[in-house]
Amino acid sequence: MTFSTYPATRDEGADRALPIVIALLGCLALAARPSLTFIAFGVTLAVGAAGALAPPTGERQTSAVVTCAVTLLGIAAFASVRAVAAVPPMPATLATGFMAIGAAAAEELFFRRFLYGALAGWGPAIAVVVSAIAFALVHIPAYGTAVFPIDLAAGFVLSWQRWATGSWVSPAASHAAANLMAIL
Amino acid sequence: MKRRALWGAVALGAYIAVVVWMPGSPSRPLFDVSGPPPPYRWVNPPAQFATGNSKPESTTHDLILGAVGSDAASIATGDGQAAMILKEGAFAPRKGETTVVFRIDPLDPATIGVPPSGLRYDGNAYRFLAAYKKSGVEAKLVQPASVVLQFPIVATALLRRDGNAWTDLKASPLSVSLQVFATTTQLGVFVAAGPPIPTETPKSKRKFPAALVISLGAAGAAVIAGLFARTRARKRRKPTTKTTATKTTR
Repeated sequence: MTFSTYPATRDEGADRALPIVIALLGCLALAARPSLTFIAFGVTLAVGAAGALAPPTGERQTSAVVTCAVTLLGIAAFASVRAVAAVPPMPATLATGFMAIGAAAAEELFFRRFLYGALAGWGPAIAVVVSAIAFALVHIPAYGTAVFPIDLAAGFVLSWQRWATGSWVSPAASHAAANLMAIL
Repeated sequence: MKRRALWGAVALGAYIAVVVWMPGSPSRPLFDVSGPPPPYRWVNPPAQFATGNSKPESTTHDLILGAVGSDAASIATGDGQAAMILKEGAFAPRKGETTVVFRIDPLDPATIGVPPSGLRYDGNAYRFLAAYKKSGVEAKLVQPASVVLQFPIVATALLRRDGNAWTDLKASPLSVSLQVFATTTQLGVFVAAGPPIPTETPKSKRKFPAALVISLGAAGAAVIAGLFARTRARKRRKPTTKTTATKTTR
């Protein structure tokens, strides 16, 4: 399922429009989600489900060794920032830990599995850049424009992991680790 | 693969550079929306928050003194409601001393003084104290530190008690995590403050939760569209019985 290439059928137009519709609806839902509520978590999970439902892209995955190495590199980058930057505390509870992991998996299903996959037909550069920008943009309503550079740079790391491994699992693991580091 | 490794190094390097060189404020590995925080713990809760209130926590932390002074540290109360982020050398070395004892205690702000005009206290006040362990002499900041307070309702300011008055520090509220932070050059008593809360709005004048409706509607529609896309893709594949050996992204 990509934005650009679908088999020529009489419903080709509808097929091409579907990924665009899912992308716009998902981004709108994430950007408009209310802060600090269980509803926000529910919206994130729903958008992740939409990303999971989209048909797979057929990209070849790399070996488990490469996937592990790329995942560890991403986690190491987030951990080094956690160690160096002045991180304000967040109350860590079992619920916030569960939500940190769930939200990370859902967002990666949408941005790296679905959106990246849908854009992959245009080439990896477009897929990496657009999915990273979309990821950073949907967080602006909650956190303000000041954090846009951080989320954009993190989005590039996560999208690079998707490109390097051919799978959304590597960025999801790194994203979950980053979310956990913010509360631990 | 070399090209991917090279771009990976660029992405990882750029990410670390952006976070480390972001001007001034406390940061996180990633700013991502999370769920609601646990209920605020009040020293002296207003009537509407009195039921089920837990007492807020204090904390004590030993900072080891090296040649350039104290270690870098982020010290927070166990409930996460107050924290101070100290750079290396925030407290100067002192002859015969190896440790600075740092303490954070919650206070009822009403016992300290009235809030500045046009503001109300939003949550507890917190006293931040530091002393050299052996002599008990007060330790003073020699480098600015970041103070972070959680607030329960709406805070726009972070105040520091200087003598008999409050000093308004240039605060940055982070409403998504209900935190306000500012840079301070001295320890003391700090409190978050915000504008007065308007009295209850009549039901007829309550604002329609447009963002909530849009968010829920768009999420639901995205799921339906995803289902539709999957069904169409399956239908398209049915006539083809041949399967490929390529391992695909799931």
